[in-house]
Amino acid sequence: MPAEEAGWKPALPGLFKEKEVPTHRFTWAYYLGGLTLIALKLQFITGILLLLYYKPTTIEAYQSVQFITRTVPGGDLIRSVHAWSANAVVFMVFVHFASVFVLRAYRRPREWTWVSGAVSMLLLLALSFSGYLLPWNTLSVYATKVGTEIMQASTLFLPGMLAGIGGSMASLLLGGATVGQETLTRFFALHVAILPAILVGIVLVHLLLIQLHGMSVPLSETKTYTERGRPAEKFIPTFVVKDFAMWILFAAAITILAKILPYEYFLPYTLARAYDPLLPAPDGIRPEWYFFFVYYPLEIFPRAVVIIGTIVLTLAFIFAPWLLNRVPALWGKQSDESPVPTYIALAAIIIIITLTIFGAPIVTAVRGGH
Amino acid sequence: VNEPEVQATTNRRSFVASAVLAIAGLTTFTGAWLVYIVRYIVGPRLTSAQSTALINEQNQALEAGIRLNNLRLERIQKPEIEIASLDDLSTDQAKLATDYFLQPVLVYKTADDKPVARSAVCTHLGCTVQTDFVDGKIFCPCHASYFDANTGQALSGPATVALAEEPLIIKGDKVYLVRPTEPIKIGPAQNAMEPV
Repeated sequence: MPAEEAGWKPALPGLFKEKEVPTHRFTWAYYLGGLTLIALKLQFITGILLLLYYKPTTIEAYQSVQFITRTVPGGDLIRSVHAWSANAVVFMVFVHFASVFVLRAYRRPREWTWVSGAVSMLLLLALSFSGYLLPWNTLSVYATKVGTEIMQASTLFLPGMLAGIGGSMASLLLGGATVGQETLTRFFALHVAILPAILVGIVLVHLLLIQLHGMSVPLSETKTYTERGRPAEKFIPTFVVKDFAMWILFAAAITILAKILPYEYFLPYTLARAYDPLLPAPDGIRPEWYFFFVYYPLEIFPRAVVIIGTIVLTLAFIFAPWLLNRVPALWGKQSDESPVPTYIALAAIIIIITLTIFGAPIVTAVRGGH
Repeated sequence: VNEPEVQATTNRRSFVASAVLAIAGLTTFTGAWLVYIVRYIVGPRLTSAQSTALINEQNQALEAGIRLNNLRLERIQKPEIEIASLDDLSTDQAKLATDYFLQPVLVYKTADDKPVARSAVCTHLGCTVQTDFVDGKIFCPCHASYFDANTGQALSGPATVALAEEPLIIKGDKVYLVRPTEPIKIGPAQNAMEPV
C-alpha cells in the first residue's frame, strides 16, 4: 500500500500490521524522530530516579544533588545521563526539524503532526529552562535571574498597562520579587509534573498522527521512488527492529559519554558551587547553548525588535506548513515545485548554527568588549 | 532484472544484522542499566565517616538558612544595622553587605573619602556586580557593564540605569545602613522595591 496516499485511516492495530516504510535515499531521516524519543525516554527514566533523592528546598537542594552525585551508587551516572540526554533531546529535535523541513514532510495532510512537534519543542525548551534551576548552584540561579529579567523587560516598550505584562508573567513564575524558595518550588512543580504531563499528551498525539498518515516520501524522491515501483519495508518487524537497534546504539553512546565525561566538568568551580545570595556574580553567566540563538541577538539588537521578532518567528514556526504553502504562490509557482521553502529552511539552519557556535565572538565584534 | 533480488538479499542481511545487534545489545545494555538502577534505588550504605561528613554539611546548610532568616528578621525589626567600621572601607574595593531589600549592597568610600552604600544588583539583568573596582569603576561580570563608583552612573555596557544609592549613617567610627523611608529602584526592576 502506498503510504504516501494513505491519508487518514481508522483501526490502528490493522494499520500496524499493514504499515510499510518507504525505502529511498533519505530513509535514514525516518530514524531521527525515534532518536529524539529515546533521548526523551532516558529523561523520564533518569528523572524519576533523581526524584528519589532530590530535595526541592533552597537549603537542601544543592546538597541533595551532591549526595546523588558523590554518595548514591550509580548516582553520578544517572545524573550525568540526565544532563547529557537533556542536551541530546534538544539537539535531536533541532536535527529532526531540519530534516522534516528540508524534506518537506510537513505538507498536507501532516500539518498537525508538525504543529504537535513544534509545540513539543517549545515544551522541551521550557523543561530544560525549569530543570536548570533545580541543582541550585551559582550558574543555575543566575541564569534563571537573567532569564526572568529578560521576560520582565520584554514588554517594557509597549504602551500603558501592556508594558507590565512581562513583569506580571515573571513574578507569576518567580512566586516573589526575586529568585527564592517560591521560585524553586514552582520550577520543581513545572519540571517534574506539569510540563512532562502536557508533553506526554502532545507527543502521543504526534505519534498517533504519524501512524495514521504513514511516512512521507520526500518530494525530490517521489519520481524515482514511483519509477522503482515504490520499494518499502514492513514496519513490523523490519523497521521496528532497525529502529530499536538505533535506539540501543544511541542510548549506549549517551551512557558511555555520561560515564566518562560528567556534564559538570564543563563548569568552573565558581559557577558549579552552591548559590550564595551574599556573594557577587562570577564571570561566565550565560544560558545553555540551545538558547544562544535567541540570547545573543538580545545583546546586539534593540530589545523590542528581538522580542517582536521572536514572537512572530515562533508563531511562523508553529504554523509553518500553512505559511509555506502560501509563500511560493507569491512567486506564482505551485507550492510543491517552489524552491522557496528549501531556501528558508537552509537560511534558518545557517543562522541558528552560526549564532550557536559564533554568538559570543559576534557580540564582541559588534559591541566591542563582552 | 536481478536488482529486486539483490535488494531483497541486502535487506534480509541488514535485517538479520540489526535483529542480532538489537537483541544482543538490548540484553547487555538493559542488564547493565538494571544493575545500576537497582543499586541506585537501594541507596548507599554510609560509613560513619561519610555520615559525619554528610551531617556536618547538612548543618552548615541549615546554619546558612538560619543566618538568612536572621538577616530577614533583623531587617524587619531594626531601623538601622551596623555593617562596617569606617577604617575597613576603601576606595578601590567595596564591602558586600545585605540591604533592607535582602539584596546585596556595596559599601565603600568615594574619591572624596565619603562612605557610601550602593545597590550591588546590576540594573541590566540583575547579576551582582563585583566588589573589586576596575580603574575606579564598578564592574558587572555578566555582560560587562561599568558604573561610576562615585555617582553610580552607568558608563558603558548594556546597563543604562545608575546603581541606586541607599541611605546610611555614621555613628562614631561605625557605619550603619538605615531602613529606607521610600521604595528604591533596585536592579532592573521597573517598580521600586519596598524594604522587607
